Amino acid sequence: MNPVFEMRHISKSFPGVQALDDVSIAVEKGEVRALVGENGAGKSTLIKILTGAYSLDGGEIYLRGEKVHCGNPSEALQLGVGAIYQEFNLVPHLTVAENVMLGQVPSRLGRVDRSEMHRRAEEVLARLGVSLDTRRKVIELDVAQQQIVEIARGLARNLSILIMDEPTAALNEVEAQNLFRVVGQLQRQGVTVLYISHRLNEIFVVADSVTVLKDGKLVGTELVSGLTEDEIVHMMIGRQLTDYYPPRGSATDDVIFRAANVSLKEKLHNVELTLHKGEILGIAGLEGQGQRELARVLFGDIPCDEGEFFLDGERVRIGSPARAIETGLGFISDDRKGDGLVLIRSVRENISLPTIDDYAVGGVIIKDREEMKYVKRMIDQLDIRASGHRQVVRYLSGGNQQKVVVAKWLGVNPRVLVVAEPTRGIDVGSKSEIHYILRDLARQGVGILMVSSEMPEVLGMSDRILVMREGCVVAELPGDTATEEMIMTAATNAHESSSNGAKPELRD
Amino acid sequence: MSKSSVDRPQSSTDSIRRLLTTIKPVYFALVALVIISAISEPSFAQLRTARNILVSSTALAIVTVGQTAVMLVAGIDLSVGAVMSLVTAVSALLMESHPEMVGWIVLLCVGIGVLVGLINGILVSYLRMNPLILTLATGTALQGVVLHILYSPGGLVTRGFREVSRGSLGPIPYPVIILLVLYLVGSYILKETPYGLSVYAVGGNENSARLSGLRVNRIKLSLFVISGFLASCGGLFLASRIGSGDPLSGDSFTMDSIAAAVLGGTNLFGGIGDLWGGLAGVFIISILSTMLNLNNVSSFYQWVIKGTILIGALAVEFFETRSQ
Repeated sequence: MNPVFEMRHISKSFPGVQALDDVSIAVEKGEVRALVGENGAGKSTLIKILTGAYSLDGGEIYLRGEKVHCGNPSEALQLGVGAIYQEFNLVPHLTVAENVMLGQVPSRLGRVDRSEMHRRAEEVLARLGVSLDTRRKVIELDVAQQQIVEIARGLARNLSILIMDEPTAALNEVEAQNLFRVVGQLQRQGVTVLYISHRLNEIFVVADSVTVLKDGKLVGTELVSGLTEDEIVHMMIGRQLTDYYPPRGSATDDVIFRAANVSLKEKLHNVELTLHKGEILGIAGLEGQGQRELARVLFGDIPCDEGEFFLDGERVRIGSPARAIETGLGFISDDRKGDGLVLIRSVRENISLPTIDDYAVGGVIIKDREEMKYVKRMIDQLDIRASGHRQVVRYLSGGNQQKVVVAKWLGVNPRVLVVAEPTRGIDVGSKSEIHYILRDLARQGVGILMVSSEMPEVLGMSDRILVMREGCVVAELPGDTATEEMIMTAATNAHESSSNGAKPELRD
Repeated sequence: MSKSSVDRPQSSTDSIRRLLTTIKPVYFALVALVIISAISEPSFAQLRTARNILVSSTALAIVTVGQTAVMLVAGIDLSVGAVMSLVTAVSALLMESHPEMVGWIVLLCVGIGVLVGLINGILVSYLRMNPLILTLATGTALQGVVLHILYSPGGLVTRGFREVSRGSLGPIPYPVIILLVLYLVGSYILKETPYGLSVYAVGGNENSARLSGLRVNRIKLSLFVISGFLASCGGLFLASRIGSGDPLSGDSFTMDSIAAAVLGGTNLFGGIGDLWGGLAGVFIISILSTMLNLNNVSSFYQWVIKGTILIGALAVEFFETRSQ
């Protein structure tokens, strides 16, 4: 059988980085091909070349046996090649239907045919097994819903080659299952799918074959049926990853931070939490139950309506991020690109940002050498792969960007670190490194509050777990004995209908 | 992104090419313009012309520092021209009636600039007004005030005050000293101090800067105050140079300072740019108008040419960001 598309000897470099080096892949019609690799392996670059978003330095692309040149994404779309990106490309103030149908809005006599537009958008959403009001504006939706709109937009185009970049990153279990079902449908209709995911278990569910990239080079392509998850990981990182999660055992009984009666209209209701020295307190729950808001309230980024905060038993006021940092808090945001980093500035500037005043004498001069020493130590210690401290962070991979964010907050020497989705969208290698860094910090006596929607992360990292639902803390579970079922039961309120064994201690 | 691919050995042509791409296009443009001018106009190469161009650039160079600073946080200040006109009017009128109070008058003028900057800054940062429209509005309102105070050119600055733009320290004209000090200090602050780094961070990503503990509003406010302050300084220099007040003398400086900053590589979306590029932009604008004046080109055409150059600068910026 002839491949439906083939990329031969693809090379691409960015300032200071060889992103792809002589990579070739060929995919057959109706095949679901997984594309995996650590962050920075070149996956995103490869698909952006395929969709015409990037130009290539060297190599050729063949589509149905013919050599093509996709100069831009719209040309690629006309050839039937399109992608669902991890970063949303939605227009916030347009409706769901308008976003889904953007670029192919049905019209009659030069006028937008709204009923047809909504009908077709609903049809696509129905295929995904989702009911979403197509008249709502995208800006009003939560992240998971936005992700679904993004996917629906890709499906609405009836592409012959569909690229999915981390489509399940923001989805819950049920939504992800629906997506897998749709991928299966597409496959039977002869659509070729290129599927990128860091969640390796998904690959065994959806993909026929897997291509592994590492450091911009092709490691190999294998049939999924003959592989194990460990073997894929081994191909990706070039070594065996033994312990995904560092051992626990740093938590103490000394209360370092306490929040009482925290309320934020409609988002948080009388949240109480206690954080101990050396403890990692996991905050779990379905997406959008107030976890994100809680993290931002604790760090003073969102002013709360009510609530008291205590550090070492003393009442503290946290009115702004600046006050929070002075008080001894740090915050690793869940939105690396939106507010974690200044993407257009250098590694050095980003790392020094929250602490820059510490390196100044009389508020004027940077004590250059000490600052540089810190930046260089961090680059070494966290193994930040950049061409140097002057490298603009935009060109770094997700994993390396996240390490820059971590380095930035290590410099603050926080007593309490609020961490939101610390490893979202980064590869297993970096993920594990960041987990070890967090546990090291806890060992040094830092109290860590970790919001995460990734169940294995919460279970693997937390000393204690709080489960949130609709803005309330509904359950507290011990980290070492909690199970996925216990969290899900509390998170979905399933205990009211079922009363089986492992019932978590419920609070209300 | 292996380390090996990063540390590739480089040939010398590689490093030359790298050097050429790191030098901003504005410097090439300036050098080219100087060469073309020197060839086509023999008098251009004379020291006197150079000195004239320098002196006539100074007011613009002063204002451009403030404009660049505001643009670094994705702001813009369209009120600088009106502030300058106001300052020429106030200083010339008051110096004519109270020649003994030059010091106080200068202080008053600077105070006016700071006050306007404070108003702009508070409204933009704390009340989240759009800087483009807001400063257009404050500038318009101020222009009304200027015309009310002084309808047509008038007033007279003191002889001593005129020396600011005409005198020299030994062989070095005061304007050269003013420019050097201003740009050295300004660049130092932007590149070497926590404050400067904060400015780039706020311009690069306001959310990230806020979450890093920077007082974003305060920083933005301070930049508008600096812009207002420097606009009043520019106005004072202008008054010294023309010797009297003129209600429309500051007019062209709003557009020219933005053009100079953009020519110099300051990004309209904030976070990228520096002062020296802006200074090169200032010289390009000054040399160009000097050359056009020498060749008796009508000022109407000069406007057309200035507008075209600004569009060209925006095009360069567009292609640079797209190639990334």
